[in-house]
Amino acid sequence: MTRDLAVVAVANVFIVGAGFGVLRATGIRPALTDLTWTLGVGYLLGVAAVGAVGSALLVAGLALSWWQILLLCACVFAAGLLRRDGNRPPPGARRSGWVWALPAVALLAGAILAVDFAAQPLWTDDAWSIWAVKAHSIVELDGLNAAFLSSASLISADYPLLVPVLELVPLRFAGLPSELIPLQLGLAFLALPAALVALMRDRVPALTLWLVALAIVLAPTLQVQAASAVADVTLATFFALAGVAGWRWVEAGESAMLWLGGCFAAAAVATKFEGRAFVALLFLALVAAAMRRGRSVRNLVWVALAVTASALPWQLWSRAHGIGNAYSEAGGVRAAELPDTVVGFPGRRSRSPARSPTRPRGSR
Amino acid sequence: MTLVAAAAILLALRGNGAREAAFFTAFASLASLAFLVGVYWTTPLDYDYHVTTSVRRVITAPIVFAAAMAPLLLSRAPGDQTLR
Repeated sequence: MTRDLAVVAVANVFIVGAGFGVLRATGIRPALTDLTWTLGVGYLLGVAAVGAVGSALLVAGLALSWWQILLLCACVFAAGLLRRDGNRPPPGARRSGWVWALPAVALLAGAILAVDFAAQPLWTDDAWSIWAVKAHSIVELDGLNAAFLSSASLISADYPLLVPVLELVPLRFAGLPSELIPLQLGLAFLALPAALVALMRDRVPALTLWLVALAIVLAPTLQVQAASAVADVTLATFFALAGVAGWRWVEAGESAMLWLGGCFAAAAVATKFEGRAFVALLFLALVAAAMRRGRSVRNLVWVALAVTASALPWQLWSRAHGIGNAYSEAGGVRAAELPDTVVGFPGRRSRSPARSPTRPRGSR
Repeated sequence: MTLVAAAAILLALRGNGAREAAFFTAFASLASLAFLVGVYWTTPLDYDYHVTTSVRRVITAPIVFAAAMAPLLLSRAPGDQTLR
């Protein structure tokens, strides 16, 4: 267990390095000792980059072995070094006084949670049947296997790949079976408070900022969900950061914030299906807010196109191989049936998955 | 956390200089929740089945987003001169 923790820690240091590459590419160059940027924004950008690019590499035929994951992190870091001009340190925090106690409490809570995550089994149905089984299949079958993914044994097989890619980190570095999957997914949640503080610290009094960050990290429902190793907290992390960074762009017009928001939005899209709708609605709100302030939305359109493009490889691959999910298996609702469906709510008789008529895969 | 988010939106809507941010937050989070309701309505699966199995998880993202925006909603926007 100690060896496993050590090698997974090394892998996560590389992920922080990848995040630094993304930060430099956007024009932000934080000091290594600036922990909210390093372990908050930097780490989560690394997770976003490894998750989104790793998904595309899986589709391209790679199996994301341990050295390929390290090489991916190194390449993202190196890509950031290509930008030599315009880098500046992030804005500093407002004066905080005794508020230093709140980060200490957040750090303590995070450390306790990390120990808890390290001891958690995969105890929810979805953690195994949707996410971990896909990551295990990539290891066992040496990459994405269309025959396995389109078999009847898998539900929601067409969900995006960011979470399975993250789960590959402990599986590749600590070996099968890895008990560290909940910890690997939980680290993204633990980095969220620090990332929020980093993104808003020049704008919001430290007391308000850290109190809200504490409210998030101490929320019992989030802690339970994070420990259950399903994708919802990961999606929430990326969606929240995309929204905050996007709004900072609307307020101040800093293009770096817009691109940071785009990276987090791409990660949200690569995490779960509903992430696409959430991000689309978020961009709609950003367009409206930016136009109201007379800000050009040209860069926002470019970011939206980049986010869309990032989702295409898995979308095309899964469709090409007829990989479906519980919704499409059950047939969905045709447009003509929609009025009846809505009028019948909530008393209409409907079906649970066990009683749903199933169709052959691919017959949508 | 939901209460933190709702209180921050309401306070900002009352006019502490972050009204636009409050509209932005409310739209993005409520529209996302409405999308989920729409999906639950239109699937052929039992609405109660969705509510009992997944609703507590899938609403996490819009709520965490709204809570994450709370610090911006509770502090005055740059250049705002109104008294709190």
